[in-house]
Amino acid sequence: MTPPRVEDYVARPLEVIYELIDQSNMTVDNVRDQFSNAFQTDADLSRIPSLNHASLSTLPDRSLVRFRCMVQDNSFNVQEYFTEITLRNTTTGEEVKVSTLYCDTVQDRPGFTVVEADMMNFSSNNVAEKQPVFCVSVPGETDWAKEGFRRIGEDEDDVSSDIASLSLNDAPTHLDEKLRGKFPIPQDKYAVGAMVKTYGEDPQFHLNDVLDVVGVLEKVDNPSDDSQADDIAVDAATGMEFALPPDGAEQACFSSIPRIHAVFFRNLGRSHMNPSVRNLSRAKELASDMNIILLRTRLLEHFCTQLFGDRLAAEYLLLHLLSKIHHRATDDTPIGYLPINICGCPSTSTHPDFTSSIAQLVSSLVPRFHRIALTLKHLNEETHLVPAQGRDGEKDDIGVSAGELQLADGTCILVDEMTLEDGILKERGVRNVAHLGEVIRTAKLPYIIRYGEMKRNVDYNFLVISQGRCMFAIDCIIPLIPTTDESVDTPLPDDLKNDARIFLGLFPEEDYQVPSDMVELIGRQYAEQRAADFEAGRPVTTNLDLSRRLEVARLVTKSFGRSSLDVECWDHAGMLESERMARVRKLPERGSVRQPQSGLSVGR
Amino acid sequence: MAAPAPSFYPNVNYQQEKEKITNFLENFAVEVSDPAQTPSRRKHSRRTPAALQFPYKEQLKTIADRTQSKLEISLDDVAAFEETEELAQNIEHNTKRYVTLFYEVIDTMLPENRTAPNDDSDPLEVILFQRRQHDAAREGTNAPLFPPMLTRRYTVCFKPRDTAKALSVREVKGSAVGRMVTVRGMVTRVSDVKPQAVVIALSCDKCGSEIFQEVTSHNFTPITECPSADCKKNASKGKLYLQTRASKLIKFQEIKVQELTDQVPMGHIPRSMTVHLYDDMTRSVNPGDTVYISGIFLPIPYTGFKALRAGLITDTYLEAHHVRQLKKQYSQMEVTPEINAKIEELAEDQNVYTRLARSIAPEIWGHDDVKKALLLLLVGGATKETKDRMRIRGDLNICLMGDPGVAKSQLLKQISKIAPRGVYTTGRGSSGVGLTASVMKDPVTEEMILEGGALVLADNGIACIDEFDKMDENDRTAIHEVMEQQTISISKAGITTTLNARASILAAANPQYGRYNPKKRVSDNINLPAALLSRFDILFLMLDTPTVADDLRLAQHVAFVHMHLHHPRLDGDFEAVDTSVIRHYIAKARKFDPIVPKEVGDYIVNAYVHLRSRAKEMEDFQYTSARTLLSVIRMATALARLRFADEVDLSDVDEALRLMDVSKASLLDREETQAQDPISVIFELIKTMSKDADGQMQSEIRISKIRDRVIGKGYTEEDLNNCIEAYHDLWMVAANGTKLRWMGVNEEDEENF
Repeated sequence: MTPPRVEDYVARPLEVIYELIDQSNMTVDNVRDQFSNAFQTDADLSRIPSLNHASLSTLPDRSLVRFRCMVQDNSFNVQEYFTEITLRNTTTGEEVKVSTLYCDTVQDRPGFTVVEADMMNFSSNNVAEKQPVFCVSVPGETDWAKEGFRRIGEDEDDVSSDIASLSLNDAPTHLDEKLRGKFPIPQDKYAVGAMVKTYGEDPQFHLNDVLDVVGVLEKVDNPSDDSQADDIAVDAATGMEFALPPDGAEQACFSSIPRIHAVFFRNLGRSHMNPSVRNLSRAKELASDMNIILLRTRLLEHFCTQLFGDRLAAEYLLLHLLSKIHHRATDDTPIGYLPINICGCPSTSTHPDFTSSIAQLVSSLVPRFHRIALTLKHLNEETHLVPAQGRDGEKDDIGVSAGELQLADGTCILVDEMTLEDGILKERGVRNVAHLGEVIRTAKLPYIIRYGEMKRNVDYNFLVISQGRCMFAIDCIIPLIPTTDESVDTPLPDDLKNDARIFLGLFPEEDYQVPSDMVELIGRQYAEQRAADFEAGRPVTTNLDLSRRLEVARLVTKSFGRSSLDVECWDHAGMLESERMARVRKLPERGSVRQPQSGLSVGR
Repeated sequence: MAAPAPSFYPNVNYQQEKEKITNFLENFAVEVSDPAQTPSRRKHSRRTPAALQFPYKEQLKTIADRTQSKLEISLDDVAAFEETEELAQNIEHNTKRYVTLFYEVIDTMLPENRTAPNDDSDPLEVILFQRRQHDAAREGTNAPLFPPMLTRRYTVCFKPRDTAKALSVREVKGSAVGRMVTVRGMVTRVSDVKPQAVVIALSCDKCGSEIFQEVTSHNFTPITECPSADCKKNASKGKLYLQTRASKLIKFQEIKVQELTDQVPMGHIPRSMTVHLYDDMTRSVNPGDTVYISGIFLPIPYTGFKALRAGLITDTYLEAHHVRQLKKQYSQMEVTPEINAKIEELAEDQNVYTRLARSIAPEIWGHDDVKKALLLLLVGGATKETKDRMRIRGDLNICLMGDPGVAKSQLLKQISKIAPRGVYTTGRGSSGVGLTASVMKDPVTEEMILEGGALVLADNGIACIDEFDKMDENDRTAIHEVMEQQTISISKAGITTTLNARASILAAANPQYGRYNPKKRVSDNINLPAALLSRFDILFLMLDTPTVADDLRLAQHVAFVHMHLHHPRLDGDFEAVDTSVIRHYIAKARKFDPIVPKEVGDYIVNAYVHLRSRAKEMEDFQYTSARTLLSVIRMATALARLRFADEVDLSDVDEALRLMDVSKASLLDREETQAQDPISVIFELIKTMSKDADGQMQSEIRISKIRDRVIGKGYTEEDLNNCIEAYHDLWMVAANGTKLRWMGVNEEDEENF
């Protein structure tokens, strides 16, 4: 047998697979290896059309596609299916066996009907399982990241095709209205969803995992057939009406989205979700001390101009963008987590574009960005922030409905409190706000399930923009003190932008350590500080202050491109913290003691 | 299982199997040594001692008498009956088939009911009787007209073996199809109970003959043409009409069982499974129940056109055979052998009390006594019920008070995690609805439903309430009731009811002024009414006072976490006990119900009287009342439970009293904390005891006398020995260790020290 060519793999994957199974006696695992070997490099992979970039209508049915997606719902039960199905010719009575691997429906063959499977003979020999998960294109992916992914594997200099492809994403595909709720950001017109089915051993996809799936595309059933199929279904059900939705099969509404029968896939780690990190040569150049310091200075200057010349806020914004949860303490406190609140922002009446310019700035640097505008209408009527099971009633069980906070790890979320006005939060609004507060505080996303709630650890970078103190329990408040009247909204120069993307993509992942002599120094300083506070009758520096300063120190160290904490960075962190705390103390005290930890202490 | 068993058995001789079944039903016996005792099931019945019972044979008799309608076959019995357990295994692997076999066998064993029906008889009985008479009168009817399902007046169910492992929904795979599986989960939805046709009766409008059609699947097509000989002969094509009276319909209910959160891997969503319940089992479960359901895992095939379109997939469901409900949370935990070994090892350890206590929130430094009290809270005292059905609460209530940032909330959260039914809530966040219970209108059915709040949810568990001081006044009132009566009364929207809330309360509160002010009186610092405070068995004050050594250690600890991204090994050989082991240990401890022997009772009474006499000290804060006495007993029983003991002994009481004392000490004398260590207290005590009525110092004093007083004060003998050791240059032990002699004290000279 001649080895199939790559074109065959892409154009008629099913035939290739069946051939492999028949002739080389391959298992599903072998097929997976065979395919992943055939597409090892980025260049190979780029020959497979991607559902992220091409419109669904241009992709042929039962061809090989790629899909970079986030697992939105893994609550579906395993599906049992017959590995073979028998077709009988209605006139001649000839019977043909057809493999049903990597497809849910058999292709119509004129003159043939399906021979009903013998249900009494339901044994493990002819039955297998597929695991369905519902995936959506990675929510909040910024334009530059999309573009960057598309170009991976392509010729570096081939710019000509770029412009053309951007318009490729034509009109959004037809989608069952019920399924809208399964997209975390329903406003995103170009979001694509697909039912991804895996064969063989259950890969145990976690919610919010980001995958790169390569599989056989099975397109939407023809709309003309839909009505007919429905009729039949009703007929069959009249004998015994079921009150509850069935377990294994999908609800009818899922027939409007494509299915991808995964041949092989990759779990994308956080660093793989950032296309700029692939630029290894530039990353190496950046790693030198001089370049980092220069980059840091230039970036800070730029941040500074956008933040009305506030150097402190600019520093904290940079530190924030470098933060990443490394670890959770045994009591579940996330270590490395630094949500920030820039308060004292100019009101929307005088500077209507302020928040947008911040959003613009951040989204041009990070691969995933989402802005949550807190308006009463949005909170009360439009959005659900956390995912929930069975939100839309029982009959149409679409599994887990998404929430605006169901995003991939490492997404920057700009919470815009500036848009909030006086008014009444209704029940839904109250719940949304409570959930947002909870996610910010604990870095855990709750999933509402029947009779309870489950949590998944998430790692989002929360940036809250507000006029007064924000309403959430954020420890790190930076009151903005403008030194200039205007925020200068100059776009980042391209080279700086590219370097910053690499910097922000790469450095949070780097190793970090605290040398033991530093541990001692820190301990001594802390004890002395507390003793001094107590003597002076001041509120005592607490361990929360210490933890926060350590957190800031870690990020400061990283922002200087270093890998271990030194006195310079520790002092720099102390300087930042004490300046910040001095500002925070000047803030008017809140009516009630909502955040006992803030305003209590001084870091040195 | 010897061979890899496919679920399809072509080579099983069903005739042989039937004989086996007959043999089992007729000859299975249990030995009853004493009729009052639970019969112990045993193997063969070849030897026939006087007291043998044949449970299945006897049940068949009652079935024949129509007084029993369900025959439950315990697979444990089947397995015990046979050496090879082959039959039991076959049943487990091909359950559906064996249900039919059992029916067939039992049909032959049962006598036909020929008694004439009376007014009370079931309509079906009447019809059958009439039909038999009718048939007897008619010639040439030889075909068995009644499908066996119609005449059967009983159902056969299998009860799984006790050793059957309960699976989660996601563990039930395709290979389990046709087999008996046991699934553990929570019922999330139930459908209405509906009739399902088992046999439908049709009558022909031309020839009048009755046709019975057995329904074996969920979808069926009723016969439309009369198949009787008459109609066929005449080609009259008689139309058939459904006769509900003669059809056999059984109750049918569909439920959804969802995985419990502990069965769901991290990052996954619980999956659910459809379960079909029939007859007696319908209405046996409600949404929210935790159940073990055993049954046959079966596919629902798609038919016709649908098979072509979506058709390669099938739906599945579980046909229930046995439903077991779980109520008590601690008792439901499954103990694996490894955990059992660990528990036993722990129980051997003399230091188990300290070790377990320190394993609670090991990342929080110090606070050993607080943790000990929390451990007792987890274990709980034994709940007693008096003859007039008055419950005496066994659950402990604890209140932690203290400065912000002393890890109160962490402790609370940890406890809510360790307790199998722990609920964490904050006083501020929860309205009355959140904490107690509310009445809600169901949006779909418009029915009023009762919804439990945190306290009802924590029934048989622990409710951890943070920011207790910030709670709404109404909630506090509700909590009064919970803390003493352990119930919640609701009177809302026309519903008046009392729900159980047998929960321990663990509360955390901040001092009134944000930080504890040592210069103010205790009651001024605590913003809680005395009536509520007295309901707490024990109160702790946790202050954040800087001490260089502790601060240094803490800072280094925090920095260490940042440096290595894990927690440092705790000093010494101490190794934190795993949470799940703690949980199991506590579960086991809770099974003990220690009693208080007479002499221990007397001892407690003495100690209580002593406490009462000292009550003045605590006046401005907490009374020493009968509640205190109960608290001591509760804590002492909890300590006995921890030792896996059936009796409370003196050391338990001592420790309980010590904890009470420590908690009080934490509230009093903030300035002179040093004075509170047991050694100095005992020293002071001995000093006072040494003075006679005139204030004269005596040179000798009996140690046994001291010991009584020391223990009466809530300290242990060890403390006393330590004290004697610590001040050995001031006194010496004399008279063979029974007396303590002051050095340098003569009868006259008391000024010497």
